[in-house]
Amino acid sequence: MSIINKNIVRSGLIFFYVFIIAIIILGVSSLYSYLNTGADRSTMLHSEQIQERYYLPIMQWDTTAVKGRELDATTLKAIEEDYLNAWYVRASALKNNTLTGIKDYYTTNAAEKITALINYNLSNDISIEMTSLEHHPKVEFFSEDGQLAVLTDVDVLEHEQVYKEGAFLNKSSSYSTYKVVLLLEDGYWRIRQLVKQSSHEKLRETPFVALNYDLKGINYYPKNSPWNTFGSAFQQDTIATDFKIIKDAGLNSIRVFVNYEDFGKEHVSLEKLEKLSALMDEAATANLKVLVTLFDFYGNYSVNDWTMTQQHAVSIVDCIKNHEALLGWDLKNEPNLDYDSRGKEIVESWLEHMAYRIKTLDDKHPVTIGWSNTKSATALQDKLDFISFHYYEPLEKLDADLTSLKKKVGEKELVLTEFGLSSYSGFWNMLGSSDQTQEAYHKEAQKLLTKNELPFMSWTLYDFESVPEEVTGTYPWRRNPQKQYGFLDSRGKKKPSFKYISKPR
Amino acid sequence: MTIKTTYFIIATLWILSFNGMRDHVKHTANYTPIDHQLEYAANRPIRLTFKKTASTTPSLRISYSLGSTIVHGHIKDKTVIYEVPKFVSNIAGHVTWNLVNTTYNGSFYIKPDSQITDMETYVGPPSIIANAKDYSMVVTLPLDKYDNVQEDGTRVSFNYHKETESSQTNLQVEHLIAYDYVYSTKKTGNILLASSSGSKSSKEFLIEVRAGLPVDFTLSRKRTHNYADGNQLASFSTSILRDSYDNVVNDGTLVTFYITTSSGAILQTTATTINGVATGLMIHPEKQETWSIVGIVAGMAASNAVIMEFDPVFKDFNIAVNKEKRTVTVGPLLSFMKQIIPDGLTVELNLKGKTATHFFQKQSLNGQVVFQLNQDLIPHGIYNIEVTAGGITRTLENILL
Repeated sequence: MSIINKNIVRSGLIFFYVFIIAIIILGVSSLYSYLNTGADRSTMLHSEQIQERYYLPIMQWDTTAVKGRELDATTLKAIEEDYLNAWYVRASALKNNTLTGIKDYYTTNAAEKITALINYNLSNDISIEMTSLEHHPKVEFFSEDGQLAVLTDVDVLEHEQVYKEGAFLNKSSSYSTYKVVLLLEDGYWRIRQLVKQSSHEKLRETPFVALNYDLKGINYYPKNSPWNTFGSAFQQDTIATDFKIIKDAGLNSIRVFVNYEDFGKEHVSLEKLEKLSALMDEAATANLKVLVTLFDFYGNYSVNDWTMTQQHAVSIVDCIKNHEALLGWDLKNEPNLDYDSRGKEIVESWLEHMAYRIKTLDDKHPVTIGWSNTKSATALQDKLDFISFHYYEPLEKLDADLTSLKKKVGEKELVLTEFGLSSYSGFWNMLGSSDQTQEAYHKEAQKLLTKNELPFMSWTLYDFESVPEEVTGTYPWRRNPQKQYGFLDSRGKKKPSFKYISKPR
Repeated sequence: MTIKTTYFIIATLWILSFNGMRDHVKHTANYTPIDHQLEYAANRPIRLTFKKTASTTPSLRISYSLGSTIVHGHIKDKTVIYEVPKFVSNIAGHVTWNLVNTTYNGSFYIKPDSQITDMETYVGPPSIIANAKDYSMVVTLPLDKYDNVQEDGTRVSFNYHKETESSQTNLQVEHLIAYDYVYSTKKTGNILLASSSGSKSSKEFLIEVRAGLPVDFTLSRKRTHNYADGNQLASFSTSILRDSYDNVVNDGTLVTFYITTSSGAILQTTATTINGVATGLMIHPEKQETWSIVGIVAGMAASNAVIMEFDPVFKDFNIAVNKEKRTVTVGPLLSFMKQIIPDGLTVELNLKGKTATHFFQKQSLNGQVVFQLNQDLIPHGIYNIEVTAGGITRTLENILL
C-alpha cells in the first residue's frame, strides 16, 4: 500500500516537475520571441509601403508644359501615389480627427496647419467626411535636381459631409482648383503648400436621355445560378436559350444584376467583363435590350469608399457603354432599404454622385434607380432619366399609388422594374398562393399595366432550386416563397402564369 | 361641450398656430451679409456679419485650402457675427462659406501678408561641370509669417557671384515659386548665390563648379636605370589632366596604364590623379623587354604610347653541379655594375632525364640559387640541365647525377 502511495507521489512529483519546466520554457521562449520582434530590417526602407490603394479617384495628368526638368513616367507615378495618399490621409484625419499619416505626406509646416484644423474640429466635436473624385493635375514645374514639383490640380471634384456631435449637418460637392508644391523628402513626395485657388459648386451639365422604348421585360437570372449570373456556372448557350424563350414570349428586354464584390470591387475582373459582354452579345442576337443593374449587394455608402465604387462603375460603364443591346443603367437595386442602417442622406449622396458619374461617362443611355416602392421613388427624381420602382403590394392599390406618384414626378417616365407573386404554397404559406393565384395575379397585373400604359419588367423568369442567404436571410418562411416567383418552374416547364408574361390575353 | 374643453381646444389651436408661424418664419429666414469683402489679408481677423430677421442662428460652414470646419455665430443687435478662426484666416487661398441648412453661401479670397519673413530657397544639383553649358537651379518660395507664399507677380531677385563678377536676375513668383537657372562658368570654382524679395534675403548658397571630362594627354616615363633587373620600379606619369576648358580634373580621377610587352602580354596598373597628375608604377622586367605603355581614363581620354626598352643585366652565369650533395648551384649572378644582383631574381631549372622532366623555380638570394635535388624524386641517372635566368638559357648535357 505504502509502495503504491509512494509511487503515486513520485509520479505526481515528476509530472509536476515536467509541468513547471514546460511553463518556464514557454515563458522564456515567448520572452525571447517578444524581444526579437519589431525593428524589422525590412521596415528601414519603404519596401513595405501600402500595397493596396484605398483612394482611387479619376486622375488625368497634363504634362505637356512642364518647366524645368523633363518628367519621367516613374517619377510621375511616384508623385501620383504620394499625392493621392496625401489626400487620403487628410480625408481620414478630418474624419477621425487624428493625425495618422499626416507627417508622412505633409512637410512639417503644412502638417502644423492641418493640426490646427484637426484640433479645432476635435474640440468642437466636428467631423468631416470628404473625398475627391476627380483630379486633373497639370505639372507646372519640376526642379532640375528632381526634388521639387509644382502642380495645378484643376477641377478637383470634392464631396464633403459635415457632422457635428455625430449628427449630419451639411453636405456639398464642389469643383476646386488647387496649387500644390511638393517636396521629395525621405523618399516621400510631401505636400509643402496646398492653396485653393477657386471653387464652385456647379457640376457639369449632363444631358437628359429619354427612355424612348416600349419596355416589356423581365428580370433575369439563369435557373441554375440565381443571384449569380456571372459566376462559375455561366454558360453562354444557356443564356442564348433563355433569351430565345424571353423573346418568343413577346418580351423585348431584360434586367440583369452586376454584383459589386463578385465583379472584383474597384479592380473589376476582366473575366467578369467578358461574361457581361457575352451576355450583352447574346441579348443583341436575340434582339433584347438590357437594363444593367449595378452595385448589387453593395452596402457601404460611406464617403471614404466613393472613389472605389466610382472606379468600379468606370470599368463597367466603359466596357459596355457602346453596346447595341444596352438599354440603360439601374444604379442600384432598392437602395432605399438601406436608409435605416446607413442613413438617408448618406445613401442619397452616394446615389447622386454615382448618377452624375455614370451620366458623365455615358451620355447616351438613361440612368435610373430601382426603388423598392412607390413612396421612395420620388427621391433624386431630377437626377434620373426615368423613374423605376418595384411593386409587391396587392394589385388593388396599384392604380392609386401610381396616380399619387405621377403627381409628384410630373412628366418623368415611370417604369415598373419588378413585380410578381410567388406560387409557393408549402408549409410556410398554407393559405397563400398557388400556381393559379399567381396566374390570376399576372393576368390582373397585365390588365393594369396596359390600362396605365406602364412599361414593366416582371420578377422573374424561373423558379429557383435554392436562394442565397444574402437575399432573404435564413428564415424559411422568407426563403421558400422567394424560390417560386418564376413563370417557368425550376425544370423549365411553363407555369399557368406564363400566358400572361407579356400581355393580357 | 363644456367651456373647459372649448378653452382647451382654443389653447391647443393657438399653440399649434404659433408653431406653424415659427416654421413659416424659418422658411423665409433672411440673412443679409453686412460689409462682406471679396478679399482679405492674412494678417487680419475675418468676421462675417449678417443682418438677420430669423429667430434661428444657423452654423457657418467654412471650407478652405486644407479642409472644412463649422463655426457658431454670436448675436448682437439683430446681427449675427461669425468669427473666422485664425487657422483659416491666416492661410492664403480661396474660402467658401455657407449658412448650414439655408441657401446662403459665398466666398472670398485671403491674400498673403505682403511682409516677407522667409525666403525658402532650394538649390540643386549642388555641383555642376565647368563648361558654361551645365546648369543648376535655384527655387524660392517667398513666405509671409503665416507660411503663405507671396502672390504671383511678386518680384524676386537672384544674386550671383561667379568667378569675380556679381550679377542679378529679377524674376517673378509664378505658381507659388520663383526659379532661375544657374549656368556654370568655364573655370572651376564656386558660384555663390542668394535670393531676395522685398527686404528679405535668403542665406548664402554655394554651387561647386567642377572640372569636366579630361581631354587626351601625354605620358612621361622615369626609371633609375634601363636594366631588366626585376627589382627597380619604372614610373609613368601623365601630363596634367585637364578638361576642354583647361581646368585641372578633380583629384582622384582614375587612370589605367596598359603595358604591352614584347611577347604580347598586357600588364595593367592604375593610379589616381593628384593635382591632375597620375603616376603609375611597374617593377622592371627580369629579362630584356620592350614595353609599350598607354594611359587611359576609361571612356574619356587616352594618352600617346611611350616605348621603354630594358637591357639584360648579365650575359652569362655559372652553373656548378655537385654530385655528392646533389645540388645545382647557379651564380654568382652579377648585375650591370658587377654587383650582386638584388635578391629575388627568378631562376628556372629544367632537368631532362630519360624518363621524366623535372622543373624547379627559385628566387636568388645573395646572388645565388641552390637547387637541392631530392634523391627520392630524382633517381640517379643522366640528365640534361637547363637553367634560365634573366632571359638567358644555359644547358649542360649528359650530366650524371
